[in-house]
Amino acid sequence: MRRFSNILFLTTILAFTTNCYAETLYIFYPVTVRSHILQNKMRDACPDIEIKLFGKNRDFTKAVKTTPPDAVLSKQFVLKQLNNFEIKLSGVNKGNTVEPYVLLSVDKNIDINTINSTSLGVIDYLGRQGMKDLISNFFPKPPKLKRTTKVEDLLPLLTFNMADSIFISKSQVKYFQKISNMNFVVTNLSNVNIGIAGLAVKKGGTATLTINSFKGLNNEILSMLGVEGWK
Amino acid sequence: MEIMSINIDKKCKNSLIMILAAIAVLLFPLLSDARDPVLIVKPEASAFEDVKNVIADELGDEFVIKELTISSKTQKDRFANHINDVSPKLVVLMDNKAIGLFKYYQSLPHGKASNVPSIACMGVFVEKAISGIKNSTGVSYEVPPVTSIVGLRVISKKKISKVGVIHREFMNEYLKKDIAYCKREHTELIPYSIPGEKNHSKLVKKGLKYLIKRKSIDVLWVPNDSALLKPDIIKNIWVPMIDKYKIPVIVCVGTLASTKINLGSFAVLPDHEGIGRQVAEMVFEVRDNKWSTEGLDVVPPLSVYKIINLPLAEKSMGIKQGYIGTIDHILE
Repeated sequence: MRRFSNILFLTTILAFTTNCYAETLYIFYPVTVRSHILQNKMRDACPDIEIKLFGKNRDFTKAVKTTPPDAVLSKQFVLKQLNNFEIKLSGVNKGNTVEPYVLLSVDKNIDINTINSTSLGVIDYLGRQGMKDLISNFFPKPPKLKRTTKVEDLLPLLTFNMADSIFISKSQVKYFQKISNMNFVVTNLSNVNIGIAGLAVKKGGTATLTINSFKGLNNEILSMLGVEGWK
Repeated sequence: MEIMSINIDKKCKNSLIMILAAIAVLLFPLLSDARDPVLIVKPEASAFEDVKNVIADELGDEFVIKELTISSKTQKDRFANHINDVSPKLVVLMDNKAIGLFKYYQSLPHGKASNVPSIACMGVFVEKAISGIKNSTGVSYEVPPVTSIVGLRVISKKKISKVGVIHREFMNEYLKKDIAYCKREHTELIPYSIPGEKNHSKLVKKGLKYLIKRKSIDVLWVPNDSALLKPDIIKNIWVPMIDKYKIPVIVCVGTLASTKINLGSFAVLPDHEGIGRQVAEMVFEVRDNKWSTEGLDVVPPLSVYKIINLPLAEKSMGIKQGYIGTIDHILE
């Protein structure tokens, strides 16, 4: 009886201390809802996957380096910077894995030719230097950047004239028009098409469970991620 | 032969010493910390510690972070000596006490770092507090009403076009900017200014009647002014009036939205992590601006923390459940 209770006790301890998850997934993907909402929804949809959500590039890159997960969800240009990961699924909108980006300003047009004399609000996906390098790809004479970590924090940059415009996907224009009554002006950018969400898997791994879970994500979560499906 | 070998040994030794000295001179810049020092002056409390940690994390790669914890007992001269010892390239001043100490430091004739740029944060009315300090800027702690109104409008079923605010006269100047920001959002911010330092209960009641009945406001925004938010005024004036007319109220302090007090349906507070990031970003901007704060105005907090008193909010304005995900903390 005593031996049985000892075995039971040890088994209980083991059950609580051992990682019960089959795979781990890191998410670094600022969305318009609070991050804990996305995290909870993803956990409900992927119960056998340990999911960790990151709000800052610094924390995310450190974690990927020190405790690499089986898979990562982020913007494609972020995933391409991760050395040991390979994109297996690309988010799709209207059949495209890339989406056009625009400049959103208030009460004024933005002249692309003189954008280097303006300030531009951006979501900080890549850190200070990384974002400078990314934006330089689109604007050879780049503007001064104002970085935020949340989509909604781009709006006060315009409200308080802290930035002349913000750099967002065309699909995000509707979000800002919904939450604000300011007189928005959209400046289309020719040839600025950026990859939407992507799921990357650690090289040498398969993350089969994560991939299959992603293919079965419901419309509510897909909408939070700004995609219609995966390719 | 013996004498020759001794001379050769001495020559080798001297050459070796010279080589090592040359290596040391070449390596010294690499071994010593070439990063610019940033001094963060802060009180003890955890809120300041949180902001300091974010700043240190953001700046740690490119700056050496030094810290000075102050209290009400910190003596001005000791503070001045510390700044001289650290010789920072920039000072971050958290709280009005730190701002006051630095102002004193700048007044000293021999302050080594008196023209050093400073960035103030986590204080009351930072813009006013730093007036008189040379080469300074900051991030204010007060969340502007327009930010709170936009946040509330997203989840409110009730249409919001008129927002009332009862305030003491000293806020007149601040509200001018706020009125303009709200106008851009097609929202009218209607102030009711309370003169003097007496009869606040009576005047708050008069103000509420004016805003609710005469001006037909949709929402009330209540700034964090302890003189108008004494417990007896909250209990006897604010809550009964708001309850009677079912006016949704935006407050700037979390406790006022609690289900025990039931004053605020919605509380919007500055996000401390966001303030830390803004300050860090400003440090880079000042550095890029050749250590000058010229052209860098005091800015409001970008990132906020939203709390909703759900029962009160449902009663006073109705909630769009689909947007509850924009709220950080729901009180039920």
